[in-house]
Amino acid sequence: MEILGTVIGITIKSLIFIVGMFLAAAYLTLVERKFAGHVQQRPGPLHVGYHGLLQPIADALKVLTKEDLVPDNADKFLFYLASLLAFVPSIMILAVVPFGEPFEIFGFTIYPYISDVNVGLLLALAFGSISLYGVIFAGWASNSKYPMIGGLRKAAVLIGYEVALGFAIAGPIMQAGTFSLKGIVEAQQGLWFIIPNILAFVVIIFAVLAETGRTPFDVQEAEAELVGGYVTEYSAMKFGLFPLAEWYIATFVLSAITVILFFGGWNPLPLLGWLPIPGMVWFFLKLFAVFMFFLWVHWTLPRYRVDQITELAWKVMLPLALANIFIVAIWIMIFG
Amino acid sequence: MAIKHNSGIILTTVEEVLSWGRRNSLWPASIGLACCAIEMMHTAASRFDTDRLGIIFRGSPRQSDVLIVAGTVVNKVAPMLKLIYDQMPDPKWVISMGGCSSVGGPFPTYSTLQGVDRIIPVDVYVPGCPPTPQALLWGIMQLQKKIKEKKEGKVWDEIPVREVPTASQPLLEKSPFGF
Amino acid sequence: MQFSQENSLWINQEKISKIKEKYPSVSIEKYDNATFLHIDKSSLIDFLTFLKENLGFKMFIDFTCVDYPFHNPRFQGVYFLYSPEDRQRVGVKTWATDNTLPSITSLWKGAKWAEREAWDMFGVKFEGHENLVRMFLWESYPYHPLRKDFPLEGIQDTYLPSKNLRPEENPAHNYTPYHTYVPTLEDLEETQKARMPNKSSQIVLNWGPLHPGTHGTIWFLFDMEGEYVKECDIILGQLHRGVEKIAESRTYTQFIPYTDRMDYISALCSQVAYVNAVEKLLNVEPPEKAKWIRTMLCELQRINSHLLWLGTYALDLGALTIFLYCFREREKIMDIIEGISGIRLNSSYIRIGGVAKDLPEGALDVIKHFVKDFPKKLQEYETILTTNRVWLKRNINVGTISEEDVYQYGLTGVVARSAGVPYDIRMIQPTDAYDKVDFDVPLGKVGDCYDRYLLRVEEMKQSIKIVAQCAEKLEKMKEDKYIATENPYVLPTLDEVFNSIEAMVKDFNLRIYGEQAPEGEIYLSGENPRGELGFYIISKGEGHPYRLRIRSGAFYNLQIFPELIKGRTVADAVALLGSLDPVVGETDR
Repeated sequence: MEILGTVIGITIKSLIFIVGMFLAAAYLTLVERKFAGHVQQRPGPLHVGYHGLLQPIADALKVLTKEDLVPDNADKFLFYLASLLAFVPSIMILAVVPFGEPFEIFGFTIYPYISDVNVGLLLALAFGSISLYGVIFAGWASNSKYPMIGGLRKAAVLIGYEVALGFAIAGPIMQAGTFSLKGIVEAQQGLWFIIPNILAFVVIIFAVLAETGRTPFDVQEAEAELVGGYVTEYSAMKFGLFPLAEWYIATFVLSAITVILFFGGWNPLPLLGWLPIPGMVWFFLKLFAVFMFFLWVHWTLPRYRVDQITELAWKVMLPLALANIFIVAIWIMIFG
Repeated sequence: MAIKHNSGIILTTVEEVLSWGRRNSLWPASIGLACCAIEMMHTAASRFDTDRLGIIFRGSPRQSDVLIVAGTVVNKVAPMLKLIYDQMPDPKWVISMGGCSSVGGPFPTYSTLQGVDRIIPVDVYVPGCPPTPQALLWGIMQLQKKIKEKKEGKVWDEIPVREVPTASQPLLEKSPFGF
Repeated sequence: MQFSQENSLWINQEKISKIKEKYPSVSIEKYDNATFLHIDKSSLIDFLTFLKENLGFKMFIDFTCVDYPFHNPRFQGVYFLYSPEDRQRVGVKTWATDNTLPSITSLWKGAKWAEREAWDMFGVKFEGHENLVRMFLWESYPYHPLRKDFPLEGIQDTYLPSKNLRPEENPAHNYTPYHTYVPTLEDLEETQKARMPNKSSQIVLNWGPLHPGTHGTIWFLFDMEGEYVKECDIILGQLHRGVEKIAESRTYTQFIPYTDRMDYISALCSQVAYVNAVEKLLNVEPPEKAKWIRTMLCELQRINSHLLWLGTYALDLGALTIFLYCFREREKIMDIIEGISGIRLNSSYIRIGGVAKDLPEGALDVIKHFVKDFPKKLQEYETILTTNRVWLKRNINVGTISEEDVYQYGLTGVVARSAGVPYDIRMIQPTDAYDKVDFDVPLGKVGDCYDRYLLRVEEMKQSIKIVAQCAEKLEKMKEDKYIATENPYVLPTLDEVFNSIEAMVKDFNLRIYGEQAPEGEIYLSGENPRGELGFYIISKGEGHPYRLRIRSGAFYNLQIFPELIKGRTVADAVALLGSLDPVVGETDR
């Protein structure tokens, strides 16, 4: 009976997370468009609903009812699989991301996460890596030159930053002594991990920008070079899943992981702990700050060339990540 | 506004909602041919900002709903423009921007296509050489109106032909030309 | 005349006598603004080599053909060369016996496209050309349109009615359903194959013609290995509208709007270049005020054009926000131009003998405000880009151009100056008020994309300096005349037409019959933001030019692209193309 309760609980929670994430992702597009608009001295979506509030819904309706074209000489199975492979793993990362501490409402204890696995961070990384196959498959299956080049570029970039990313997260793990994301947050009650891990933070920013395909590392969909990159041949909702997964869900979830790793998760800001603000609100505030930071970078910088990114990954980011491990090790030796 | 096939209230409402979604999320293919492309870019830029109306330019025709033919179409580029149009998924619309793409403009020459409607059907003609961004926005809103009033199909005689941006003098009841 | 023979840009007597010594058969044809040497076809290559090696005419400017249907041989080839040391130009004419000419691509690589164009337009063949294909039209096109016996409208032999389903009584158009032949995709594929006869690598990437990154409709063929370009060719003509053919049936004034639509980003500069050439031909001297207005508007247009370049260049390299910032400033300039001329983009404001309208009240105040405001905005863009590491990585050492390339390909404008060649028409042949304003011509050192970026930004600063000087000067000339209507070739103002019968008759005559220019030839160029925009006009004493050749800066600048992109990636192609800054309307005409 208890197992049944757990199963029902988890199912409901998963549904809430998935539907919530869908809606959130849709509205994150609006956030981005509004944000970009105001950066660029224009209002952004304005006339569809109050200040463009219905814009994501109009977009979704249109994209869902568009004719779904599959090119004649595409590899049809992979073509369908690619869009799912890009989207599903992105949203699966949510399973291990905790959004706050358990709290009680009407006598029920609510856990604001689906599961607290003791290898949570590794799972998140693994899911993140799988979603990249979506991009590569999309490039291959389209049987067209631009998507092909886009997919190849992504593969080249992937090899570069994944290694650096793996080493960069070693620092916080060493300090917390656990792979569990919840455990990492709890280890940051006092000092946030940003203090000794500043180099790792730089590497993580690089990796997140590269993984989510945002400038300066958006080589795989550089519009001026490759039209739409790997999504060139996709239309309707199959196309819609890609930006939703890459630009919004992945950015959102990876921002959450960044906050957990370096900014103390749902711990309040230093010196502001006395404020009557619940942990989850702190968490989302930090999350949005980091998310907006990524948008800000995206809308400001020009982009690198592929060979320059790999060069950056191997020659700069990897040594930085290794140096970070060294620094953290010394830190642990001195301060415990 | 009359709906010819009497499909009941629910279906009508669904169509209404879909049409609302479509006309508020018109993504043009970012294809510029000549001078008009500059004004099209100005329309998309900060001052006029098509994003207000939910219009963002897409690089690939597969993801776009409306083809803005911005500039002179010459014979050599015509088959490729047709290809772009064929690559767009339904439902799709075409705005012919400027005199050149509408009727050949000031180039009645051996190499210029005299009117883009000779190769693809056009929904809205925007006059001007080049049309100002305001005129293009008018054209886009005219298209939105058209989508609102006729959800599917290109039946032409019911389009209001009298709506022109200048209110100086009323046109004839039945204009011999399109606009 | 403003330029007497002594200080003009054309070959001097000393050199002519040297030529006479070596080639006694050469005959000289002299005009006020052009000097031509006639040489026999058989000794052409020899003669051009002599000019290049011994007399210093090492820069290739232009090559074109002229059709004389009643002469035998029918076609005449005209070469324009420039000597950078002595600042002299020379024209060389030769008759194409048997419709063939020797190819001069061994002397100047820049002649490759010009010869293709001559083959396309006139059907003149070139012996020794590496791959003589059609420049603008497709391979199976049967005619050569610039021949005098080819009609402007073409041969309308295809049934091509409107696709718009309209009822019979309310047709979309009332024009004929017959149309010139529109090629099929197979025709274009054939054209593409002719360009790359010996392809070697894995894939041929068609970059363009309808692609967001190709600045209009340029069609690139990249023969690629991985992402590296091994071989490249460019197919132009996706915006070939037959402007040179149109010119032969329009009066001189009627052609002004077409110059706008050629280089649509810098319309005013093109107008000024064209009108200056026509004025020299007609011997019209515009009033002082008109000259200052022209200079001011030209420089505003130059800023406008460079802003568009900066915006799209940044957009191509991924920085979207700069694009929108640049367009914000562009809107201000567009408003100024709209306020003065009435039209935003293709303004058609310059007239033969002056300008179309006087400056409206308050125009100078707006301009002065802009002059004060703009440097701050430019500083903003520079803060984002100039020392940005990503920007540096993408630009430095990409597409390096040497001085030799400049002479070989006839590069002009910023592209030439980035390689350190001080070739600026505003300096070497100042028209309008350029000799009275103070400005510098910045020069590059390396010749890469980053140099061209810095140069264009610096040029904007120089332009704003010129605009400030012009505005100051114009402040004192408020009551002056803006068009020299007393000249018989100049259209009277509307006021005069309504109030005097003589002006009305003159207006009628000029509009119907055109300016009956005296017989003669002229080559005059202006410094467009894209390079030297030259107009070679042959007048036979009629109301319209017999032949009008447009020497387009962008056309020649783009020609170096295939060489620079070899061994580089597609990502560099974007940067390189952006920094060469072609406008298709001008390259294709």
